[in-house]
Amino acid sequence: MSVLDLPVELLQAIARHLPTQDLPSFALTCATFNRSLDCESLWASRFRNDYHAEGVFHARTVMDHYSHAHRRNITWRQMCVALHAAWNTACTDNTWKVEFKLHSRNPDRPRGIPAYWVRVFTTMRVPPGTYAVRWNFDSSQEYLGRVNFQVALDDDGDIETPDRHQDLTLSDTTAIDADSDGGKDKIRLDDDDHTHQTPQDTLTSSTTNGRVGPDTQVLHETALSPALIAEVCKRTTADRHGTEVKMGVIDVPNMKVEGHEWRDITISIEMQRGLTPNMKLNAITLHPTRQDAAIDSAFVPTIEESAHPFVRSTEERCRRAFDSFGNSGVSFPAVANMLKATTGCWMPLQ
Amino acid sequence: MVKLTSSDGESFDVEKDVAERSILIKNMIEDVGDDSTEIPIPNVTANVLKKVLEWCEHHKGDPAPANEDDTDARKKSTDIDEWDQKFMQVDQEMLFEIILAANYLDIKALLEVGCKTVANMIKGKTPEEIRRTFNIQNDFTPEEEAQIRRENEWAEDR
Repeated sequence: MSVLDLPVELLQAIARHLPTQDLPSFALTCATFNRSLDCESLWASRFRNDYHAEGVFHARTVMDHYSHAHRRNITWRQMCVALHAAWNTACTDNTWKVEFKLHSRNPDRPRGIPAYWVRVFTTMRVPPGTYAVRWNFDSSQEYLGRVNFQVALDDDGDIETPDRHQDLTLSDTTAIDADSDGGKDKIRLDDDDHTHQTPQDTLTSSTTNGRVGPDTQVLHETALSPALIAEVCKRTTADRHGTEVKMGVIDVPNMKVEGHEWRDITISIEMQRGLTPNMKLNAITLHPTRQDAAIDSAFVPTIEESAHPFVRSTEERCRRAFDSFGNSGVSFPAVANMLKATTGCWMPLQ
Repeated sequence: MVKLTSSDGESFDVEKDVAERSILIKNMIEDVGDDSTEIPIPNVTANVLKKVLEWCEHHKGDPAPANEDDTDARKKSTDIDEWDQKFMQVDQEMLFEIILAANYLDIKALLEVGCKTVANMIKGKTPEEIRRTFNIQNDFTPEEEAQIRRENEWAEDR
């Protein structure tokens, strides 16, 4: 009796317990394992889990369009492989979640073209205290949509919620002065170039404990408009694939978590556009700068999410994934253009 | 008590609620309508049936498993109860026999534990390491292997 004596449905049951990044090795082990992965339901359910209902909806649209136009089907396995190549959340070990959202660009025209947002987030438990939060990211793309960086606190009604102002700096990129003005802070860029700012180029940083829902309070939010991405990402470097990338850092040096008990906070980055990512989030770090006295010193946390929580795929890697479709007659540009046409989202084309 | 007979003719007297962890046996008892009737288990040998019944005995008080969507299976794959981990520390032949028996007897929770155990033996390994673990021959032609590698280049590139 060996593993190869198991019927195919049991091999598939085993495969369902494997993370996506382990499936290529599983497939490359032997022909029996590889054949067991030719199961649409296995990949469809995986796709649903990774990209949620909205992702499935858009993927289905792409698949239908392609099958209609080219009389050839894209399988869920191909979609999964290609999109995983694009997202490559391999390092997240399921601690980071990906969420898709569709919003109308113009609330007055609900039937207008929707904007496509992707939110990557994680939740961690921290004691009351003051924390330094840093998002370290880069982008190889000329254009990004709006990007929001947010820290939110689960609300158990235990804390007071005074308006607060906190300094925000964009380290290594440009200096920013924050002028507190009620709930929303207008951030004025004050870099060496004295760049002229138009109203739509304004970066906003919300540093109050604004309630966004019955269970959530925003501790910090920085919203970057498309025009400001270039201002933030001033340093340039090359990634390990040789692609030129622009680096940016957002620092929140003093973020206060109030209350008397440990709290769940959610750290997120939300990007407009894209079924595929157009920004690489290299690391998010959360360091305690001060612990409130009520906390037992035995519980002083050292919290750091410094692994690569979310990895942008380079154009080349994305292209390779889609080029593998070429063997079944599907070309990368065709799929990319369809995604763009049908969902309004962005795909990296050369 | 219920009397179960393995494929090699050995009989086991088992408490009804233990035996009924198996949906197959539960349905058979209901169909026969008589607890004293001997129930044949033609696809499971005595040594495997004994092991399966040991698991059923330990888990006889467990609530019935929820009919969960299988999409979350990955996230729970490392989450194996300590007793179950020890229970599954058997040679590979017995492990696969238990999985087959759990599938045949329709014991979902045991099947889940078996599949998780195998998945954990695969996780993080290269194809060659998986082949060594399970003593599998690479039966791909070089062209086939190259084709699959091309399709999965994104993962190789991590």
